[in-house]
Amino acid sequence: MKLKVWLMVGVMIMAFATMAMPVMAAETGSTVVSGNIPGSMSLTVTGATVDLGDITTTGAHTDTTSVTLAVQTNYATWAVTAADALDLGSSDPKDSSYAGKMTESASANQFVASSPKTLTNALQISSAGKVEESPKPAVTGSSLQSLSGTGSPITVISGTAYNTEAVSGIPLIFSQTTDAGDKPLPTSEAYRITVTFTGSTT
Amino acid sequence: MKRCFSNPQMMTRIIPVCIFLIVCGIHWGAAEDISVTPSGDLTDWVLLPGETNSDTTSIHLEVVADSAPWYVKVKDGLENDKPESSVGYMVEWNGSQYVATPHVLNTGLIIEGSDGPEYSNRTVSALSGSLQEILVGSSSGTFPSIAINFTQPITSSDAHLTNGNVYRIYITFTGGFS
Repeated sequence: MKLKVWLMVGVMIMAFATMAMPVMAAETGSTVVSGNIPGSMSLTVTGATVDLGDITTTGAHTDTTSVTLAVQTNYATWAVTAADALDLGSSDPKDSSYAGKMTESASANQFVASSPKTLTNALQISSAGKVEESPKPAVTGSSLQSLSGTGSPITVISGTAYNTEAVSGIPLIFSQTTDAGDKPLPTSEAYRITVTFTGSTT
Repeated sequence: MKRCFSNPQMMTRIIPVCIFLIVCGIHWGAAEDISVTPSGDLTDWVLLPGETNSDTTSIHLEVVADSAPWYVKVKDGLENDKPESSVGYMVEWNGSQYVATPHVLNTGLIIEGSDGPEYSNRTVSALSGSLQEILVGSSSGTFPSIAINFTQPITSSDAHLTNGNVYRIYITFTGGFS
């Protein structure tokens, strides 16, 4: 009988111990959400031809209106560079030693193959950049720099702001300085150069 | 005392009382229990610019509640020293930590549960560091797959991240009883 009583007392202790347990439990779990925005950059060149006019007089000949750029990107830092493409669209590029310099061509798409004349000074390009209202990014311009080959592109505009809305109408300035040593060409020919613009991001 | 224990009549009175106390003890002391288990993480989410991105299929919750009404609440876990100023927003993460000067999305993450016969959803439009209801259940049971919906608008001025970095947020789910 004693055993029964102690058993009962034990059960009662357990019962009251159970009563001391919390009446509500809360458990947690967690999850991670992560992702990225696809990167994009587009570059549009408006104005296919820069006409520097009559460059027989020595000095700087400048075009500030013929070509503009439009840029759209959501990269945090970006730039647009320019380089001499070394060809006029044909399969016969000019010698790389003429990089950056306007070169004698007999037609709109081909250089004179043998010992073409070149202007003494390289073509120079700059941009004033452009500032637009937020949220469009400000575009940083550049001062005049001499054009070179694709191995040494020059930066004409850059930005550290970003927006998927394009900034358009960014003006480019082309300047060609001629000197007394530059030779005139027959009227059927012209000094020409093709400039390639490339967008880059980091 | 000894006589009391050896007295059958006394024992017939004590035993029912003890049984009553035990039953009451078990009833009052039984812990209501709830577990909340997310199905995993939502990673590599492609967030399209200029769009309200939505994911309704990646994350489900398993809720096991032995009582009702129950709730599930959420908050921004702010783990790994995520800046408090970014609470509710996805922040630039380099794979092991939030970067020192992070890009932060312009719009906060929106979370909502989903409706079922025995539970209903609540939308948390501004995730914060405090718990907010996302689900409310009206009956106990096991609910193995409650869809959790995530919405993340991306504005035109949200940046693409480079170097393998991603936008990230750590969300904590907590279950309880109303």
